[in-house]
Amino acid sequence: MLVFLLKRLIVLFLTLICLSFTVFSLVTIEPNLKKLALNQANMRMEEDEVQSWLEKNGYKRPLLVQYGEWLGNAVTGDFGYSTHFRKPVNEVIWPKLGHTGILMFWVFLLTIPIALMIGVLAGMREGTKTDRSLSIFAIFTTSVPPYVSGILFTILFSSWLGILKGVAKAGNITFANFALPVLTIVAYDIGYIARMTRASMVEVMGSQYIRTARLKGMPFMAVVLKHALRNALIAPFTVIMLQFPWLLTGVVIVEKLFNYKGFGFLLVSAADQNDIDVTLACGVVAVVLVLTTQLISDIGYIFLNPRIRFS
Amino acid sequence: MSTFVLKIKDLSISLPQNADRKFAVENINLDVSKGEILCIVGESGSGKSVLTSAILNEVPGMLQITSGSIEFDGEDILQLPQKELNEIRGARISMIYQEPMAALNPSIRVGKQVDEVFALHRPDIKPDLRKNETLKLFEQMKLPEPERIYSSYAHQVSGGQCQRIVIAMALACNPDVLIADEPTTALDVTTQAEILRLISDLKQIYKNTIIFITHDFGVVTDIADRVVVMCQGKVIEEGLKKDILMTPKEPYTKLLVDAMPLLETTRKPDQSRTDNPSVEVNQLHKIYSTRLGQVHALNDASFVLRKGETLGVVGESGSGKSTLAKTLIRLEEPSSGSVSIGEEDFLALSGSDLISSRKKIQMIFQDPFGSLNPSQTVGFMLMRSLELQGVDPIEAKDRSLELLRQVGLGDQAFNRKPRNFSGGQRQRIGIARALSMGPHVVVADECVSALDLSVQKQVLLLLNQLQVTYKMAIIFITHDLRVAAQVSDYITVMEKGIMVEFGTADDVFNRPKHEYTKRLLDAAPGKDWHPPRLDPKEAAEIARSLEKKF
Repeated sequence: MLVFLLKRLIVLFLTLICLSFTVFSLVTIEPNLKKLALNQANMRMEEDEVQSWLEKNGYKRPLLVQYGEWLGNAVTGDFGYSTHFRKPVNEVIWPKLGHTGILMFWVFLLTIPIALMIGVLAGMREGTKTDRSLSIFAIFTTSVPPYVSGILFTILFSSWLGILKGVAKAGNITFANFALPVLTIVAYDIGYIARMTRASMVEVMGSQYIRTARLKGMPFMAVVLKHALRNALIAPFTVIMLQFPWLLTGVVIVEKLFNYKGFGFLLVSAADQNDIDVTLACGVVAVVLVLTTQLISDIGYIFLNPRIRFS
Repeated sequence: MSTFVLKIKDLSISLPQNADRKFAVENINLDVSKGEILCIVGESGSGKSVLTSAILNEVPGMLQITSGSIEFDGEDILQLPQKELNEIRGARISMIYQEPMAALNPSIRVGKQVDEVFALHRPDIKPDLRKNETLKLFEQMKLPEPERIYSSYAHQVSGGQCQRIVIAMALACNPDVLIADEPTTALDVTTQAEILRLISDLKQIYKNTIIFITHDFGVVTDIADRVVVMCQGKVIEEGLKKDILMTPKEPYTKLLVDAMPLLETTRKPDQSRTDNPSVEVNQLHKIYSTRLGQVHALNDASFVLRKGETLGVVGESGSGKSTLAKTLIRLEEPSSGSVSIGEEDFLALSGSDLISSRKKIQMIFQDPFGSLNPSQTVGFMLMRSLELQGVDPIEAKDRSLELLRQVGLGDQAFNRKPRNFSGGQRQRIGIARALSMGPHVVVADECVSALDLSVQKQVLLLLNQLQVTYKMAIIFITHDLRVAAQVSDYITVMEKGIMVEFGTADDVFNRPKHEYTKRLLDAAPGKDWHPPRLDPKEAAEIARSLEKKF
């Protein structure tokens, strides 16, 4: 187990290096830097002035040296300076990440229990009316993309009913201004996870060991809870874990839509404004999140499924 | 008190509307006496499994019980409310299954799963004492190291041990009736013999009534008191074991008993032949490297086989039979050794030489369902293999039609796809496909083990006829000693990758030298039974009349 963890951590670290280097080399190509120079110093600079600005700010050094410098700083926790916000990156990114964190917290708090419940209820008796209605509901919510449902919800709850606000204010959340972005993501996600859970549950309920348990004289609900649930949750668990990185990119649309100034919003504006250090830092955060959730997913998988423990 | 434990009256269970017949089981009347072992015998689709699941009122979702009653202890099981039904299930009527590994929950320790039965049905046993009871049961089931098994998961114990655990679970509350649904079919012969012995021994202690479902008359011979023969959802014949086995009355039973291969050899090869061998294998090895170390799957296999001869390869699962087949046809590369087909060193070939020589050695596969491409017509498959050898299309078509006739399928089979054929027919198509290449050597890997007895007999006869016509050498891999006895000139017995015995079929069966061969022969179910034979003409007559009937 320890060896496994160590291996995964090394992989995480190497991926981080490779990825940050790729992003780094892409954002520091010549035309991009010129644009940066014009933005930062003076829009009307001549070509030679641009060159000397680049020289002065160290952008003329070899790529590896520049990357090494960035990496050295990043390791000590200094992610550089945001050219757009004119503040250190650390002061920009962490509060925004916090905002998105709060959003995700509520999304997961609502999605996971509801989705699992729908999936299990639908899947435990395949083909019944409960199954059909829940399945149709799930398919419906997943097939409407967030940018559509977000607008629909805004029209419905904000423009018509006027009970919720169409703009979410990060850092000062209330039910009225926060419910819509959460609802938009939850609606999409519930359907997705519920469908996975249902499929997995149907498969498990049809297996022979469930028959064994039933013919032992075990009541139906006990069979579901004791024998089916754990085996049925193995597949959805991985999916849920994959939702974390997916949400991180998925929130880009929702945050933009509701003007919620979180991580997704920041990523978009950083790319817009050619904010090199912020873009890089966002990349690092994304990679760390993807790989850690993968790690948690793998460990959880081992706990749920004793069959792979010895292979 | 009546002497019947179970009384099944007029039971009919309907199939979904688009099925090939209306009822899974139809008007079944059956009395099960206290303390007997009743064997229900039938081929696949006879309704025997559905009947037994009805006894616990748990028929598969698509089926529906339309009429009848099952009386147990004065009450109709089919009318009981769920709660009372649950009190009977697992406690008074319990079940063991065909695939013991799949019958156990993969993510709960097996001991806990047995504990559950006590938790459900024996409130008098305190929770902390359940484990003790389970361990006692495990000991009774002759499971080694009960403590270790108790805390194992199903995938960590062998198939035979899994079955012992399932039996322990079934007997935990000393049920009145034990239903065994093909409990030894998925197991090796020697394991099967052990489980059958265990069931008989336990019966002496527990005095349960046992309803034992099987397709294997050998198993019936070893275990039954009374036998019920089922076909197409109906009870065909019912009687004492010796009557059914020795003097069956109904034509269907007669045919079924007649299809049971004898445990006697039929062929005597000419050992003085000096003509060139069709296939010569020398010191063939296959070593698989896994993370846990090396596995010597095939260890020093050598044999010579001439035109028209058959070598039966016998062994249990994991003995290396299939590895032998795979390395022979170079589906997997052997680690060392040589294989010559005719004059040619088959292992030295590569590239286009290998491809053109592959036609000389062809394979007939075990699974007639998985080995044919479902999206192509039979005609296309046969013509394609002929065209690949350079036969022009018109001739290829004629040749394919001829092959189809030779394997007993009509011309109309040419334009159909595999899904239109039954298992036996598909196996015939598989044989036709193998023969279309004009092979010198045919490797048949368990090619009849998925088939019902009567179909198996026909396929074996067909293979025999074709061998007379085409003179190919056949390497016949099987776990079934009876089948091996019927088809083989020579037999080799494999154990753990090694050919522990090689000889003429007669020598191996009647004068076995190796301990393992003796054990295998001893474990063969029904070895003391000599099934009565029908006159072939009479058999054909009965088969024709039955075909009309069903």
